[in-house]
Amino acid sequence: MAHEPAEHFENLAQQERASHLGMWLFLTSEVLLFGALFALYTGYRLEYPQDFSQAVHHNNIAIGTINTAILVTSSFSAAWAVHSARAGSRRGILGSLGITLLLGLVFLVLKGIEYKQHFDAGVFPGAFYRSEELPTHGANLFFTLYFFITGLHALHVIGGLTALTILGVFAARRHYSPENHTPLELGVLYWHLVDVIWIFVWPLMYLQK
Amino acid sequence: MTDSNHTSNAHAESGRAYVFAWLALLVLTLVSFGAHYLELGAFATAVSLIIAAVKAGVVALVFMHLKTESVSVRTVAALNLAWVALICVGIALDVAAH
Repeated sequence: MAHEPAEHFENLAQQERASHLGMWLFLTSEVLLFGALFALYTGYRLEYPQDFSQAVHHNNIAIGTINTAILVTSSFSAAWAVHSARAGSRRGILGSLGITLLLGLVFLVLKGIEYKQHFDAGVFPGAFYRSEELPTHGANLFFTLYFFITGLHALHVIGGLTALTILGVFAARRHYSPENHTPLELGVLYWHLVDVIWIFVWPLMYLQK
Repeated sequence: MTDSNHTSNAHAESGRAYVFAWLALLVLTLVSFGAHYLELGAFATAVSLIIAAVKAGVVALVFMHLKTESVSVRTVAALNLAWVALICVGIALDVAAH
Protein backbone atom coordinates (compact mmCIF):
# COMPACT_ATOMS: atom_id res chain seq x y z
CA MET A 1 0.00 0.00 0.00
CA ALA A 2 1.59 3.28 -1.12
CA HIS A 3 1.25 6.15 1.27
CA GLU A 4 1.86 9.86 0.85
CA PRO A 5 2.28 12.49 3.54
CA ALA A 6 -0.64 14.88 4.11
CA GLU A 7 -0.39 18.15 2.16
CA HIS A 8 0.99 20.24 5.02
CA PHE A 9 3.93 17.90 5.72
CA GLU A 10 7.21 17.82 3.81
CA ASN A 11 7.58 14.06 4.09
CA LEU A 12 6.37 11.01 6.00
CA ALA A 13 9.10 11.18 8.63
CA GLN A 14 8.02 14.71 9.55
CA GLN A 15 4.37 13.62 9.67
CA GLU A 16 5.26 10.73 11.97
CA ARG A 17 7.24 12.98 14.31
CA ALA A 18 4.30 15.37 14.48
CA SER A 19 1.85 12.57 15.29
CA HIS A 20 4.12 11.28 18.07
CA LEU A 21 4.38 14.75 19.57
CA GLY A 22 0.60 15.14 19.38
CA MET A 23 0.10 11.80 21.15
CA TRP A 24 2.56 12.75 23.90
CA LEU A 25 0.71 16.04 24.44
CA PHE A 26 -2.54 14.08 24.83
CA LEU A 27 -0.79 11.73 27.28
CA THR A 28 0.37 14.82 29.20
CA SER A 29 -3.24 15.88 29.75
CA GLU A 30 -3.91 12.38 31.12
CA VAL A 31 -0.87 12.56 33.40
CA LEU A 32 -2.07 15.89 34.79
CA LEU A 33 -5.56 14.46 35.39
CA PHE A 34 -4.12 11.63 37.49
CA GLY A 35 -1.40 13.90 38.87
CA ALA A 36 -4.04 16.16 40.42
CA LEU A 37 -5.62 13.13 42.11
CA PHE A 38 -2.21 11.96 43.38
CA ALA A 39 -1.64 15.47 44.77
CA LEU A 40 -4.98 15.26 46.58
CA TYR A 41 -3.90 11.87 47.97
CA THR A 42 -0.62 13.41 49.17
CA GLY A 43 -2.44 16.18 51.03
CA TYR A 44 -5.04 13.97 52.74
CA ARG A 45 -2.47 11.34 53.62
CA LEU A 46 -0.33 13.91 55.41
CA GLU A 47 -3.44 15.15 57.20
CA TYR A 48 -4.67 11.67 58.23
CA PRO A 49 -1.56 9.44 58.37
CA GLN A 50 -3.02 6.90 60.86
CA ASP A 51 -6.36 6.54 59.08
CA PHE A 52 -4.67 6.13 55.70
CA SER A 53 -2.30 3.50 57.05
CA GLN A 54 -5.19 1.43 58.45
CA ALA A 55 -7.19 1.82 55.24
CA VAL A 56 -4.26 0.66 53.06
CA HIS A 57 -4.02 -2.50 55.21
CA HIS A 58 -7.64 -3.25 54.38
CA ASN A 59 -6.80 -3.53 50.66
CA ASN A 60 -6.10 -6.92 49.09
CA ILE A 61 -2.34 -6.84 48.55
CA ALA A 62 -2.34 -10.20 46.70
CA ILE A 63 -4.77 -8.99 44.03
CA GLY A 64 -3.03 -5.60 43.81
CA THR A 65 0.37 -7.22 43.26
CA ILE A 66 -0.86 -9.82 40.75
CA ASN A 67 -2.57 -7.01 38.82
CA THR A 68 0.72 -5.08 38.75
CA ALA A 69 2.53 -8.10 37.26
CA ILE A 70 -0.33 -8.54 34.76
CA LEU A 71 -0.20 -4.93 33.56
CA VAL A 72 3.60 -4.76 33.14
CA THR A 73 3.40 -8.04 31.19
CA SER A 74 0.63 -6.58 29.01
CA SER A 75 2.89 -3.59 28.31
CA PHE A 76 5.53 -6.03 27.10
CA SER A 77 3.08 -7.85 24.80
CA ALA A 78 1.79 -4.49 23.49
CA ALA A 79 5.37 -3.40 22.76
CA TRP A 80 5.85 -6.73 20.99
CA ALA A 81 2.94 -5.88 18.67
CA VAL A 82 4.90 -2.81 17.46
CA HIS A 83 8.06 -4.93 17.27
CA SER A 84 6.17 -7.41 15.04
CA ALA A 85 4.81 -4.59 12.87
CA ARG A 86 8.38 -3.42 12.23
CA ALA A 87 9.26 -6.94 11.10
CA GLY A 88 6.14 -7.08 8.93
CA SER A 89 4.68 -10.02 10.86
CA ARG A 90 0.89 -9.77 10.84
CA ARG A 91 0.56 -12.93 12.93
CA GLY A 92 3.00 -11.43 15.45
CA ILE A 93 0.88 -8.27 15.73
CA LEU A 94 -2.37 -10.19 16.16
CA GLY A 95 -0.91 -12.68 18.66
CA SER A 96 0.67 -9.91 20.77
CA LEU A 97 -2.51 -7.82 20.74
CA GLY A 98 -4.56 -10.91 21.63
CA ILE A 99 -2.38 -11.59 24.70
CA THR A 100 -2.58 -7.90 25.68
CA LEU A 101 -6.40 -7.94 25.45
CA LEU A 102 -6.59 -11.13 27.51
CA LEU A 103 -4.33 -9.70 30.24
CA GLY A 104 -6.33 -6.46 30.29
CA LEU A 105 -9.57 -8.41 30.76
CA VAL A 106 -8.07 -10.50 33.60
CA PHE A 107 -6.97 -7.23 35.25
CA LEU A 108 -10.55 -5.91 35.09
CA VAL A 109 -12.04 -9.16 36.44
CA LEU A 110 -9.63 -9.11 39.43
CA LYS A 111 -10.45 -5.43 40.02
CA GLY A 112 -14.15 -6.35 40.00
CA ILE A 113 -13.55 -9.10 42.59
CA GLU A 114 -11.78 -6.54 44.76
CA TYR A 115 -14.63 -4.02 44.48
CA LYS A 116 -17.07 -6.79 45.46
CA GLN A 117 -14.96 -7.48 48.58
CA HIS A 118 -15.06 -3.76 49.45
CA PHE A 119 -18.82 -3.49 48.97
CA ASP A 120 -19.40 -6.58 51.13
CA ALA A 121 -17.41 -4.86 53.91
CA GLY A 122 -19.47 -1.66 53.62
CA VAL A 123 -16.60 0.17 51.92
CA PHE A 124 -18.22 2.55 49.44
CA PRO A 125 -17.06 5.95 48.16
CA GLY A 126 -18.08 9.27 49.72
CA ALA A 127 -21.39 9.58 51.59
CA PHE A 128 -22.22 5.90 50.99
CA TYR A 129 -19.30 4.75 53.17
CA ARG A 130 -20.52 2.51 56.01
CA SER A 131 -17.54 0.45 57.13
CA GLU A 132 -17.82 -0.56 60.79
CA GLU A 133 -14.24 -1.83 60.84
CA LEU A 134 -12.74 1.51 59.74
CA PRO A 135 -15.20 4.21 60.81
CA THR A 136 -12.77 7.15 60.60
CA HIS A 137 -13.12 10.23 58.40
CA GLY A 138 -9.60 9.65 57.01
CA ALA A 139 -10.46 6.09 55.93
CA ASN A 140 -13.59 7.44 54.23
CA LEU A 141 -11.42 9.96 52.33
CA PHE A 142 -8.89 7.27 51.43
CA PHE A 143 -11.50 4.98 49.93
CA THR A 144 -13.24 7.82 48.10
CA LEU A 145 -9.90 8.59 46.44
CA TYR A 146 -9.28 4.85 45.96
CA PHE A 147 -12.54 4.37 44.07
CA PHE A 148 -12.08 7.55 42.07
CA ILE A 149 -8.49 6.81 41.03
CA THR A 150 -8.88 3.06 40.41
CA GLY A 151 -12.30 3.60 38.77
CA LEU A 152 -10.90 6.24 36.43
CA HIS A 153 -7.95 3.96 35.74
CA ALA A 154 -10.30 1.03 34.97
CA LEU A 155 -12.14 3.27 32.47
CA HIS A 156 -8.76 3.93 30.83
CA VAL A 157 -8.12 0.17 30.70
CA ILE A 158 -11.49 -0.27 28.95
CA GLY A 159 -10.66 2.59 26.57
CA GLY A 160 -7.24 1.10 25.84
CA LEU A 161 -8.69 -2.37 25.21
CA THR A 162 -11.24 -0.85 22.82
CA ALA A 163 -8.50 0.99 20.91
CA LEU A 164 -6.28 -2.11 20.72
CA THR A 165 -9.22 -4.20 19.47
CA ILE A 166 -9.89 -1.71 16.65
CA LEU A 167 -6.17 -1.63 15.79
CA GLY A 168 -6.19 -5.44 15.74
CA VAL A 169 -9.02 -5.40 13.18
CA PHE A 170 -7.02 -2.97 11.00
CA ALA A 171 -3.93 -5.17 11.36
CA ALA A 172 -5.94 -8.23 10.32
CA ARG A 173 -7.04 -6.30 7.22
CA ARG A 174 -3.36 -5.67 6.35
CA HIS A 175 -3.44 -1.92 7.00
CA TYR A 176 0.04 -1.87 8.53
CA SER A 177 3.45 -2.31 6.93
CA PRO A 178 6.97 -2.18 8.42
CA GLU A 179 7.24 1.43 7.15
CA ASN A 180 3.79 2.60 8.14
CA HIS A 181 2.05 1.52 11.34
CA THR A 182 1.81 4.82 13.20
CA PRO A 183 -1.79 4.25 14.46
CA LEU A 184 -0.66 1.00 16.09
CA GLU A 185 2.30 2.75 17.74
CA LEU A 186 0.08 5.52 19.12
CA GLY A 187 -2.53 3.09 20.47
CA VAL A 188 0.21 1.08 22.16
CA LEU A 189 1.67 4.31 23.66
CA TYR A 190 -1.73 4.88 25.31
CA TRP A 191 -1.68 1.37 26.74
CA HIS A 192 1.80 2.00 28.21
CA LEU A 193 0.50 5.15 29.89
CA VAL A 194 -2.29 3.11 31.53
CA ASP A 195 0.46 0.79 32.83
CA VAL A 196 2.62 3.68 34.10
CA ILE A 197 -0.30 5.14 36.07
CA TRP A 198 -0.97 1.78 37.72
CA ILE A 199 2.73 1.47 38.58
CA PHE A 200 2.16 4.45 40.92
CA VAL A 201 -1.34 3.47 42.07
CA TRP A 202 -0.02 0.15 43.40
CA PRO A 203 2.43 1.49 46.05
CA LEU A 204 0.07 4.32 47.06
CA MET A 205 -3.02 2.16 47.51
CA TYR A 206 -1.58 -1.21 48.59
CA LEU A 207 1.95 -0.96 49.92
CA GLN A 208 2.08 1.97 52.37
CA LYS A 209 2.12 1.20 56.07
CA MET B 1 22.41 -6.87 1.64
CA THR B 2 24.46 -5.17 4.32
CA ASP B 3 21.58 -2.77 4.74
CA SER B 4 19.03 -5.53 5.39
CA ASN B 5 21.49 -7.28 7.73
CA HIS B 6 21.86 -4.06 9.63
CA THR B 7 18.07 -3.66 9.89
CA SER B 8 17.53 -7.22 11.13
CA ASN B 9 20.35 -6.82 13.68
CA ALA B 10 18.78 -3.63 14.99
CA HIS B 11 15.45 -5.43 15.09
CA ALA B 12 16.82 -8.36 17.11
CA GLU B 13 18.50 -5.88 19.43
CA SER B 14 15.29 -3.96 20.13
CA GLY B 15 13.53 -7.31 20.72
CA ARG B 16 16.10 -8.18 23.37
CA ALA B 17 15.68 -4.74 24.94
CA TYR B 18 11.91 -5.38 25.28
CA VAL B 19 12.50 -8.77 26.93
CA PHE B 20 15.05 -7.31 29.38
CA ALA B 21 12.72 -4.41 30.20
CA TRP B 22 9.87 -6.84 30.93
CA LEU B 23 12.06 -9.00 33.20
CA ALA B 24 13.36 -5.87 34.97
CA LEU B 25 9.77 -4.72 35.59
CA LEU B 26 8.81 -8.09 37.10
CA VAL B 27 11.94 -8.18 39.29
CA LEU B 28 11.34 -4.60 40.49
CA THR B 29 7.72 -5.49 41.30
CA LEU B 30 8.98 -8.42 43.40
CA VAL B 31 11.58 -6.21 45.12
CA SER B 32 8.93 -3.63 45.97
CA PHE B 33 6.62 -6.37 47.28
CA GLY B 34 9.43 -7.79 49.43
CA ALA B 35 10.42 -4.36 50.75
CA HIS B 36 6.84 -3.94 51.97
CA TYR B 37 7.48 -6.69 54.56
CA LEU B 38 10.75 -5.19 55.81
CA GLU B 39 10.55 -2.75 58.69
CA LEU B 40 11.69 0.33 56.80
CA GLY B 41 9.67 2.73 58.91
CA ALA B 42 9.75 6.26 57.57
CA PHE B 43 11.67 5.16 54.46
CA ALA B 44 9.04 2.66 53.27
CA THR B 45 7.12 5.24 51.24
CA ALA B 46 10.25 6.69 49.66
CA VAL B 47 11.57 3.22 48.73
CA SER B 48 8.30 2.13 47.11
CA LEU B 49 7.98 5.39 45.17
CA ILE B 50 11.60 5.33 43.99
CA ILE B 51 11.11 1.76 42.70
CA ALA B 52 7.87 2.89 41.00
CA ALA B 53 9.73 5.80 39.36
CA VAL B 54 12.42 3.43 38.07
CA LYS B 55 9.72 1.11 36.65
CA ALA B 56 7.96 4.04 34.98
CA GLY B 57 11.34 5.09 33.55
CA VAL B 58 11.89 1.61 32.07
CA VAL B 59 8.42 1.66 30.44
CA ALA B 60 8.94 5.20 29.10
CA LEU B 61 12.49 4.74 27.81
CA VAL B 62 12.23 1.24 26.32
CA PHE B 63 8.56 0.44 25.61
CA MET B 64 7.54 4.02 24.75
CA HIS B 65 10.80 4.61 22.83
CA LEU B 66 11.63 7.81 24.70
CA LYS B 67 15.31 6.91 24.29
CA THR B 68 15.06 7.45 20.53
CA GLU B 69 12.30 10.09 20.38
CA SER B 70 12.73 13.67 19.18
CA VAL B 71 13.88 16.44 21.52
CA SER B 72 10.38 17.97 21.53
CA VAL B 73 8.79 14.69 22.69
CA ARG B 74 11.43 14.20 25.37
CA THR B 75 10.87 17.76 26.57
CA VAL B 76 7.13 17.12 26.87
CA ALA B 77 7.79 13.90 28.81
CA ALA B 78 10.20 15.65 31.19
CA LEU B 79 7.66 18.43 31.81
CA ASN B 80 5.05 15.78 32.72
CA LEU B 81 7.29 14.68 35.52
CA ALA B 82 8.03 18.25 36.64
CA TRP B 83 4.35 19.37 36.82
CA VAL B 84 3.20 16.35 38.80
CA ALA B 85 6.13 16.72 41.20
CA LEU B 86 5.35 20.43 41.54
CA ILE B 87 1.67 19.98 42.48
CA CYS B 88 2.40 17.06 44.85
CA VAL B 89 5.26 18.82 46.64
CA GLY B 90 3.32 22.12 46.71
CA ILE B 91 0.31 20.52 48.40
CA ALA B 92 2.56 18.56 50.79
CA LEU B 93 4.33 21.77 51.88
CA ASP B 94 1.03 23.56 52.33
CA VAL B 95 -0.45 20.78 54.50
CA ALA B 96 2.77 20.53 56.52
CA ALA B 97 2.73 24.30 57.14
CA HIS B 98 -0.78 24.27 58.72
